[in-house]
Amino acid sequence: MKRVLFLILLIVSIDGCIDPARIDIPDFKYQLVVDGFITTEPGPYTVKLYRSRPLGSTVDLDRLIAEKFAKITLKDDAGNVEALSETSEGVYQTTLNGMRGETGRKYHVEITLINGKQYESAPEEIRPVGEVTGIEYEFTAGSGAGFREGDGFKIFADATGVPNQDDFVRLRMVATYKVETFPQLRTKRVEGGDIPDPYPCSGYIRDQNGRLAKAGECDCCTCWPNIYDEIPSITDEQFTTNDIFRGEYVGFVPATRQTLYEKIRIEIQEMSLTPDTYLFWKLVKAQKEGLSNIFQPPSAQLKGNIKALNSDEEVLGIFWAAGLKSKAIYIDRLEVPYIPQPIDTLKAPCTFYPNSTNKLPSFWQ
Amino acid sequence: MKKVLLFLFLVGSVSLSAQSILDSKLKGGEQGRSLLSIIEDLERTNRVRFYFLQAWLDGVVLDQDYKGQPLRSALDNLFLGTDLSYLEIDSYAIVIVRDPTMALQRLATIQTAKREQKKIEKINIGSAEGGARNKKVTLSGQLKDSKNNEPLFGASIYASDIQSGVTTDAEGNFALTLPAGDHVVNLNYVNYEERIIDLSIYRDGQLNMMLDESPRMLEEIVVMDKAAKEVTTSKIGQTQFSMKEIKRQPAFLGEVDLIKQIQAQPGVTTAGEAASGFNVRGGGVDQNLILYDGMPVFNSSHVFGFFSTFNAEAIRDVTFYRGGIPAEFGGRVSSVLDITSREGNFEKWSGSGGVGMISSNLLLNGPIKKDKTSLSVSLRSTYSDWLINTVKSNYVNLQNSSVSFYDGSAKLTHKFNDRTKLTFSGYTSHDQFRLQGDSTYKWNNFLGSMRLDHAFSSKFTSTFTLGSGAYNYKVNDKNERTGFDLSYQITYPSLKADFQYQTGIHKIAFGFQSTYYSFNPGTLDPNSSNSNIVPIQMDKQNSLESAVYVGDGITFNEKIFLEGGVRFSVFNALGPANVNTYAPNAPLTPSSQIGVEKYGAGEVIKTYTGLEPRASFRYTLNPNSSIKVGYNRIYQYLHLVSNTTAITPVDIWQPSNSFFKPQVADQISIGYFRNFKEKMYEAFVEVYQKKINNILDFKDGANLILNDHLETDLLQGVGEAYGVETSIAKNLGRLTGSINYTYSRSLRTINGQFDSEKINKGNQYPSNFDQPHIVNLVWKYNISRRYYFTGNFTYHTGRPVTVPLAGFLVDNITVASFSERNQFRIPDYHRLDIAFILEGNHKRKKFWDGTWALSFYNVYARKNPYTVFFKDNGDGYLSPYQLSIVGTVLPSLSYSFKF
Repeated sequence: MKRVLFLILLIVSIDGCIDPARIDIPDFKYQLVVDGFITTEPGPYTVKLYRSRPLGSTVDLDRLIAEKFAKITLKDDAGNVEALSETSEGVYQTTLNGMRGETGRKYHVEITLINGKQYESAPEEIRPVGEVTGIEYEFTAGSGAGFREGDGFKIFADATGVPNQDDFVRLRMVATYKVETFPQLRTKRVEGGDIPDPYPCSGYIRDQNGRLAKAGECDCCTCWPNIYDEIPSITDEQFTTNDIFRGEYVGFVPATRQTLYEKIRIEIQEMSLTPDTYLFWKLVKAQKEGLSNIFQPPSAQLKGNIKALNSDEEVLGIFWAAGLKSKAIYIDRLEVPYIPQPIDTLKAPCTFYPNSTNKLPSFWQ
Repeated sequence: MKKVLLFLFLVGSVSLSAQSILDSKLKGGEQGRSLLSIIEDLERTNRVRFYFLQAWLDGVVLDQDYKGQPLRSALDNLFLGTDLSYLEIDSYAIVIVRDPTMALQRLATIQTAKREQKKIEKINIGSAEGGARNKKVTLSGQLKDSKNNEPLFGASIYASDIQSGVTTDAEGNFALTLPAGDHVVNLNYVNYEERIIDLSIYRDGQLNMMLDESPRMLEEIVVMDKAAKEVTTSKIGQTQFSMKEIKRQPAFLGEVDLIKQIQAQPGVTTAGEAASGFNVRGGGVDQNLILYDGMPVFNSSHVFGFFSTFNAEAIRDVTFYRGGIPAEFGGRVSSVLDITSREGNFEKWSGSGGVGMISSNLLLNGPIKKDKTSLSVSLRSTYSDWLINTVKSNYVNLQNSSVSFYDGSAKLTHKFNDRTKLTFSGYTSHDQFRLQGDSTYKWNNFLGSMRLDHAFSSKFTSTFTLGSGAYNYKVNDKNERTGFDLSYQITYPSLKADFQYQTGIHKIAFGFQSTYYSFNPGTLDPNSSNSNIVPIQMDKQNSLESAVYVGDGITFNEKIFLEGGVRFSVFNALGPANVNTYAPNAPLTPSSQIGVEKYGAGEVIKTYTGLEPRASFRYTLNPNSSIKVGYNRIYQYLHLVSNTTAITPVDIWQPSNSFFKPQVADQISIGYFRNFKEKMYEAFVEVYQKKINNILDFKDGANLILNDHLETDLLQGVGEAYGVETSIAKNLGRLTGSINYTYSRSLRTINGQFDSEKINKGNQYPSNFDQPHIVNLVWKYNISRRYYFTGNFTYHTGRPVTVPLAGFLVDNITVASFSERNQFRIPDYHRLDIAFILEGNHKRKKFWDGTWALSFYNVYARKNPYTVFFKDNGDGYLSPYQLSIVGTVLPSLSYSFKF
């Protein structure tokens, strides 16, 4: 649809008619956002608490204002309770061997902030889930201005629903790739020239002679960043027969010198949703798809399932529960119809990459 | 002698004071006798004298027997509506006087015309001797263009001495009732030379006249006598358009566009450049009834609304109603745009056409059999993707993209005799829009009709129309995996009969209409063996909409005109159909569906009826001002369902059914109209209020295409609109033009039983096209008799939008939290367009007449926001942006010709 828009601009022989909008918006309220879910796969499960940010500001979303020191408890309808612990600022997790979602059970979280305000999510029942039966990908050449800009893989999945059930399914994509960086190569400008200034995590130090020397193992040279679906893939049973979802588009993985450094792992998770959560993701999808549509459907208010208990504050976000089954494949770097460029020599810890981990994922083969 | 006279006077007054001669009863047998002979008798048998000039009473004949009635009533009756009256001086003398005002007025009119070197034609119909003087007579006839013999619609026939007039109907016919006697009658039509008739009329008669297009030999005089029409003869909320004037206004990319001119009318707004249609007085785009030769048109847009589907060359006349809508029209609650296409010339072949940057058009018309059968054919088409294919772009394969449209119409007319005419009319429009690797959009309109006009008498005419229309769109996606063909279609055969009967002060219209709608709400098919699209065939929806109406336009006298009417409409939703049923006392959602009710073919699923009163009233305060009032109630049974900012070709029309009730609108409007300086200036102010029940709006995130639970995604509520429209126009002189300002609001309330069936918590909110302040300025300056500098400026408040207020992440997806619906506004819209028009010489007889138009659209290159959206630039930033469709000045050159 972006192209339709662009064409219309061309027809009238003009371009670049998209400008920052000036709309008078009243005083901004930093609203609480709750973001988490529980599945039938083993934990730990994560709940993030932070504050929404004004649009147009230059605050990076990764550095949203975290809501620290809150108390979060996960509860089910059988009386099981688990308190989450804060593993990093605003990020709360269950334990590795803690509660695990079970089909047919209902789950919710209760939250108490440091200021005493209390919130809870509506109970969500885990519904039976089908299976991911196939993953396919298709290389597409980009239309960006730069060389090979916009190249990547479109990912499609086949899945099944559950017979005799109204299936509300989200097909969630998690793509993982491996990158290397060179944090030891950082230098510092001093009088008379540059001297080595390795990151401590690189395992290197500057020795007494001012030279780079290895002192241990690098802890931040190899990372596994994740790419998620940008638009949630929500299936619609109206368009299927016999509970089979065929060729559902689930996401796009860019082909870059980083993602093509070795290989890309594509995991597709089929998640069975409650009707309310399905509607939430459907609205997210509508919102994301509406962005560059010339017909521009007015965006919807995203109503989550969190309510304040001792105030009339409106809370954003959702805590949801889902049955989950997944399947994964690897896309090799040789799948692009040209020789990928070597990875760049990034002189920074690899955790620089968004959504990355320096711990070798158990699934990585 | 003096004493004798005094005595007689006293005796007379005494003896007659008991009974005045005026109270004496007449004996009967007066019918057919002249008043003169009766006066003679009275003078012979009574002591009374009548004083008068014999010439005044020549030809005055009593129209009935007055046996037993007093002389007073006979005289009252005889002199009613004439310039004669009588006085009783004591009891012995009756003085018949003639009010000189009328005669003087007539004389003054003639003298003014002579001074302005206008020709005055003397026409006599009947004579004072032969015809009765004291009665009303009807002058009827037809006005036509002298050059192409086409009837002139909306021309004014105005008896200026008694300040009474009428306008011609679509066939150029008129009927004006006048007191028998002498009158000055002015025949006017925009851009035509006025004809002045010194009329002496004593019986009903015919006046068929040709008007010449103004050659404008004199530089300074340009007749644009809308004023005569507006104040004295028009009805409230009604506007007629001259295509000639429309062609002289700046055009977007050189394409003369009727709809763009409608958008400049007071009380009319639009969502933006690439938005189809128009919004009238706070109503939706679907609430406008657009009729082309009597048949409704469902999509009036080419290229997503950049242009309209009507070729200006093929249009004969256009009437636009936005208030006081007559009973003849129904089915759409906000306005009526009644377009009549050009009829072929019965005398000789002629043509016209135009060459522009986007498209070219040609119209040919002429006789197949002289004076009997004529044909008019028009075609307009784009240049086979020339424009898009010449655009250089970084996009791969843009050369394979296409944007094209065409439209065409044909009209075959056969006159059996003066009273009977048969017309076949056809119209089609087509659009196609494609990008390599993307979807192709196609949409089409087809209309065909057969119309029989028959006059049973000069006072009783009829029109029968049998026609059929179709609108469809197709979306074709060529993608290997997801390729599909999506198609949608509406067909609507229709039958209509309209009658007009004119008698005395009444102009009665009545008739019936019936249209059968068949909707195919969507068919989805995979278009390749690899496509994983599952075929879908939505259930067809059938319905029948019928109506009978009667209306009467009553001209009580020179000052008071009242048109009242009523329309009774019936709508049946018909089977075969599967109607979803839902759990009671629960919000409608797909999961609350409990079953399906089946209906057989032709079975009535649901019936709605509507009684629609209409009224339009005009009170002429004096020759320069009038007050008008209009009221209408209208039912609308078809709804355009859209959840986008602008109306798109792929929106769907939904007929009323068990879930969707008809929209019902009540509108009242009151206006004051005034001329200044002998009609050089004309001004009006009009206020209106409108309430629409069962207006449709969508739920957040609604999915409208191929949705077999559409009722779960739409909500019905109440719309309210009100406003004041003001306008001042200068109609005469070198510089003509108008400026209008409108303040209007358009609000909605959707407050369903359940929270999920409310919008903005059930509070009132502005509709998408709520634009409180609107200013339009239009002008035309005659640089010389052939060069014009024209232009228009438009301003309106930015329309409401729902804006993202905050950004956040859920499951690593950046999303925005939006405001409640339509709580913010995009920046205001304003734009100036200018054009230089160079017309050919104005010799009356010439073979070729060419006109050049150089237009500049958006002169000061304002980037008017079309919509606001937010963009994630890839680093997690979310920012609001505005999209301007046209962000620069767009020059264009076009050439049009007539031969």
